[in-house]
Amino acid sequence: MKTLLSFLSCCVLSFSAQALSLGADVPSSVSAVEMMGTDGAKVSLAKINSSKGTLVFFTCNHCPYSKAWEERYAKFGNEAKAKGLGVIAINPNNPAKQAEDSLENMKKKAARLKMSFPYVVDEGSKLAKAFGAEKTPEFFLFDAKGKLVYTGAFDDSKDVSDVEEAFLASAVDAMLSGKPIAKAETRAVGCGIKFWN
Amino acid sequence: MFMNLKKIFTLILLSLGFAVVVFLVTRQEEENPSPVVEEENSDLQAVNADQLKALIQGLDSKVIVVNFWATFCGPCREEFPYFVSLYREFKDQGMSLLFVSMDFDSDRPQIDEFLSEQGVNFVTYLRAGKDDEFIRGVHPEWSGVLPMTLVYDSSKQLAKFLPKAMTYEELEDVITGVLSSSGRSQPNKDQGESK
Repeated sequence: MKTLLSFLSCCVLSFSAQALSLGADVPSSVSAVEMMGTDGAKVSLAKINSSKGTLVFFTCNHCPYSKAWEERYAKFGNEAKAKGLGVIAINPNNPAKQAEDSLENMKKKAARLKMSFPYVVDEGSKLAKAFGAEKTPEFFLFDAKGKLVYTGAFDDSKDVSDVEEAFLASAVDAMLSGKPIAKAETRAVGCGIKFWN
Repeated sequence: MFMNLKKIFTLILLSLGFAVVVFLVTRQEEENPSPVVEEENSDLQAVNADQLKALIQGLDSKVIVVNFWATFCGPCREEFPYFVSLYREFKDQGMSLLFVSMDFDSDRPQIDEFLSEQGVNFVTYLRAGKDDEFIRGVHPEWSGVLPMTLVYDSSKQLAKFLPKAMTYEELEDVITGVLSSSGRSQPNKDQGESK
């Protein structure tokens, strides 16, 4: 029960910042913010930005929803990076409020999932606030022009065998082939972000 | 010849016996059909968005509070007792309370444990179906963030959309406000518990 309660405290404050709308640019106020990655290197959105498109997603270590999808999004992120997209996973949670979301645990997670893309600490939750992200996991896909073309969930089911719509994969496929994205906004439950302040 | 007749007779008897058993079992099932076990715990019922709306529309209440929560959500767990306490205070004034868990179906043991800890002894609900469809179906402006609370008035019109954690006082104000609009604003201090 103690363990349960500790990981439950995760989920957090509701956040009322305005979420990025479709067509929005990568927030310029945070594009140069350098964030510590699990490999010890600092990286910013400007550095990982790709001319083919960029996938930015907020996730963390402790959240049951992040855990339920972690193998899927790690594999997808690796494949997207291999296709030339910029990919970055951002942990916006304050580890002082949720110990499992520490950098040390992020390193373990990145190694376990063989993530080939940066998994970084959003100190101060600056990026989460600029994006208007509310929960983890939450995905934002920007096209070659840097415009937001998809936001929302990874797919439509916790159980891989029950997935009927692979929202993010379909969005990336459509974006890369220059076709309209059928579902550009989706909703999903997640763990509320544990903001730094 | 005698052995063959004996074998045939035995086979006939076995066949008749089997037929009688099948008949009796079938008849028993028709008279007493097996109970349909819809849920592992009958106090936690899975509902999709349409079923939830139908439930709300079917209530005869002065104020209907629908709280969406999850065991993994800290603020949800923090505010949960406020709902229970206010329900005890106002249920005889015409308040209905629906808890809808957004946990995974596999989390039923944790849900049951938490509900038990909170002293919830009435039917609560578990979200069914796909997140995107459920969330949009419940409220078009809901992002899926938890906790979230909807408050309906006596005509089943949505009075409040509250996509955030609430304090006891804020919830009490909302509930009494909607009750006031229904002409019953005074809590019955003889009923239930107060904070």
